[in-house]
Amino acid sequence: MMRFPWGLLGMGLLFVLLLASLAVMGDAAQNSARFEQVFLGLLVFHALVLLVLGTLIIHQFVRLIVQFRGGVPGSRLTLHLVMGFMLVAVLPVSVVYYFSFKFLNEGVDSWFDVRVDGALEDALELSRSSLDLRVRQLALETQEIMRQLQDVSEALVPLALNDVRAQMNAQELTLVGANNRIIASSTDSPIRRLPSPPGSEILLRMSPGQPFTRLEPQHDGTMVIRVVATAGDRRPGADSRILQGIYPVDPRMTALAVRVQDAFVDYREFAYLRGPIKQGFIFTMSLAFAISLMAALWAGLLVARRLVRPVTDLAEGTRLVASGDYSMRLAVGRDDELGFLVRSFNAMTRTLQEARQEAERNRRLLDAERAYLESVLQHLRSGVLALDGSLRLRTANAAACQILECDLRGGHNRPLTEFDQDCPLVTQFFEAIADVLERREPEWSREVVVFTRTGRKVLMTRAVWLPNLGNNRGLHAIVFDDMTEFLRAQRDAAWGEVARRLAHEIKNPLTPIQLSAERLSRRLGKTLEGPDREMLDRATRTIVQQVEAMKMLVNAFRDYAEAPRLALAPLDLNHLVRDVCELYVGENQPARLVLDLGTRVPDIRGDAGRLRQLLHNLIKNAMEAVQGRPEAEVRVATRVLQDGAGQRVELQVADNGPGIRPEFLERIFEPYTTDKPRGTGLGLAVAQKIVEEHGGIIECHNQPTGGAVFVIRIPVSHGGAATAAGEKRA
Amino acid sequence: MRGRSWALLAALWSLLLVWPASADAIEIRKADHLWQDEHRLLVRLHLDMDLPEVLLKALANGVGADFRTEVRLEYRRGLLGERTAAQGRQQVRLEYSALSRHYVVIDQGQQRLELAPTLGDALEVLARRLGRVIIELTPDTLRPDVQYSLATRVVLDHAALPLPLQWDARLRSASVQQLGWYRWPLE
Repeated sequence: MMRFPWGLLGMGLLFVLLLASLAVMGDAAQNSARFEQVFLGLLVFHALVLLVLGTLIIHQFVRLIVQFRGGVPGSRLTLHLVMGFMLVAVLPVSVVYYFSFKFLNEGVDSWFDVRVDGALEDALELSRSSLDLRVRQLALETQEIMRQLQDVSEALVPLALNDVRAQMNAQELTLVGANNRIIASSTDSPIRRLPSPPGSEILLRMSPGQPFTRLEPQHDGTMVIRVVATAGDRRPGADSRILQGIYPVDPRMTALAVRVQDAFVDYREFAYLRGPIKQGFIFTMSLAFAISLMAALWAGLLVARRLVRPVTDLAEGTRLVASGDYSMRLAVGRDDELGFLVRSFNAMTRTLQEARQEAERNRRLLDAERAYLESVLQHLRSGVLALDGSLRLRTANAAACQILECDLRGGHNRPLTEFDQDCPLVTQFFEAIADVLERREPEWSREVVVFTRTGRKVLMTRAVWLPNLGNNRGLHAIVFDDMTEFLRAQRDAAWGEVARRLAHEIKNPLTPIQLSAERLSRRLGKTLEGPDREMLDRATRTIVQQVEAMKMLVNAFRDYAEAPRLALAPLDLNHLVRDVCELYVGENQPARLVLDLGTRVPDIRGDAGRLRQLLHNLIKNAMEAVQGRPEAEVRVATRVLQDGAGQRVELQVADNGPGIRPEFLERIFEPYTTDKPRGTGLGLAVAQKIVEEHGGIIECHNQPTGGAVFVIRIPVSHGGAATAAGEKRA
Repeated sequence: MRGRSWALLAALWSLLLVWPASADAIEIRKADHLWQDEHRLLVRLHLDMDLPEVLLKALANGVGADFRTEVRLEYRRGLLGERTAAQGRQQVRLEYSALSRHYVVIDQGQQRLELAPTLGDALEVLARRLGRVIIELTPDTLRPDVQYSLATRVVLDHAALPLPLQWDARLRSASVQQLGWYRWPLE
């Protein structure tokens, strides 16, 4: 929005007022009466204008200097502009003032010339001389008349005066006696003029024997010559009368003399007023100079501020833009280059704001996409790793952390080789795929086997090399799945199918075989004797025994392959352990059984029969493992675990036997995995199956002190209560 | 900032107010009146004509000066102040005649000239002329229940001076100081 230029309006008004006052002053300079009327007003007005302007300028200057010292944006430029305006205004005005002053001083002086002065004085003196000549002549003539009148009787004096006056062309002749008494008088116009005796000041100034003469100007512009003469005889008794004659001066001479006198007086007056004239001019000029200068300064201040305001606004706008505020819009109040600059600035900030909003939208979209991708990645059951070209970790999802048993999310931008201490699986995994990573094969897949404390893990790994990602340093996108359980389940399913087929295909003919063998023994045993009979008995017995063995094997397979039919109920595991272990306590047992049952072990939901079978399998397996060894010992322990998976009950069955050979360790729970000459190889497989039916896990590992330990962890059933107290019994 | 500006303004105004005033004046030493008849009141003033140097020099250099005696017959009218019932004035011009080498005192009212050989004589004549003013009264001018007073002053007519001299007089405050009114009761 355009600001109203109050300053310029005020300036314009003041300028108009000044022009008006100058016009009034010019008018008054032609008219004395007008000058008398307006002088004080003009003086006060101009003083007021000067004061107002001076106050405004001082105020503006002080404000500007304070702003300059305070580092206000634009103040420096304003000050420079004002100084420039001052220079531009003061210099020419000062030059004009100086030369005007000089011209006035010398010009006014040049009006007055000594020769003119002398000439005028000479002219005046000439006029005076010629008038004096006439005055002296009239004085002599008047004295002569006075002498003539001495011999005339008083009665004839009026007639004589008339004659003489007419002869002398006088305006008036008056004969005055003692005490200034008029004896006789004659005038050229008795109606217009009354005779008057000479005044006392004339009588006092009269010298004896000398006539009094005076040139007297008249109201109508003419001049007369007054002559007062005496008889000249001052002896006692002599004639004391005086004669006053008033003679007109020749009009032409009067006009010439008056003109000379006027010129002389005017010149003298002018010469006398030379100083005041110069002072008046200089005062007026100085006043105009001061007002012009102050008006120019004030105008300079206003113009500088008006010029700098857009620059100041631009500076402030630039500062705001630099601080990230693109909403700033400057007021466009002009159509010049600065206005163009302001419009360009506004267009720039608008474009920047739109670009920023667009970038913000894109960033939000990108964040949303990233969050979506992150969410998808985190919820994937497959492990996902992203490595840059220098094999530094860029991304790892939760499944990757879980599979590799390491919190990889804290190792962002960390080389995979540096995880060896905390995360052995990561190191194994990296070593297994390092060759293809370094070759940067575009796409590959590999089955990677890593070994954990509880067994091995099979990781099905697929990866691609994306050379254009990761700031053009390339990116390995690695996806892997823990196939261990899947493979195990696959094997279990295969073995189950084998078991069912065995049970179906093998068990059915076993009974006829056994019955046939027994029938052969009964029928042929009666007919044979001696060695033949012994061979038959041995053969049929062997057949029956092997059939029994095969039945047992088939039953074992059946049990393994049968779908679980669990009768779950709250179960005190310690109680069950004690019940089972009672059977393995005695002198004829191959090992000492030690119970280490934890206190406050809560109930689990379990099938007591299946768990009893589990315990029998594990304890029997342990007893067999330590049979014949000195200090043979089997330890059964229970305890409560509280970890991230919740509350679980742990059951350990450990022995101090030779341990399990490593080649068996990784597939010890697979069917037909046994190192015993007479085992079916299904005991541990069934044990694992029972544990999994209860939602638990079973692990097996060798102890550092020797011997193997089987660890079973089963979740605690809801509502389970801890046993009152644990017990430890040998 | 604003306070400083106003203080400066006040200081400049104070300077303007204490500008030196003139010391010379035309003083009325005494004034009285005389009934010439029922309708003519003659006011007589005894004056001290103390003219400033600049004016005396101006007179000597041919500049004429006009003086004016103003007389008012006043009465008081409550809060409205003084009201003028009648007034009279006497205007006299003093100039120098270079041809006759005399000062000329011209009574502007009576169209009468008087010559004086010296300035002192001229001022005496001037004082005499200025010191006699006639006030013409109509029959209903004076009311018996009203107290009247006379006020008079003698002033130099600045407007009649040449402009440069007015400038000079104004700028240097060298003009004749205009005294206040001289008052006395009408009896």
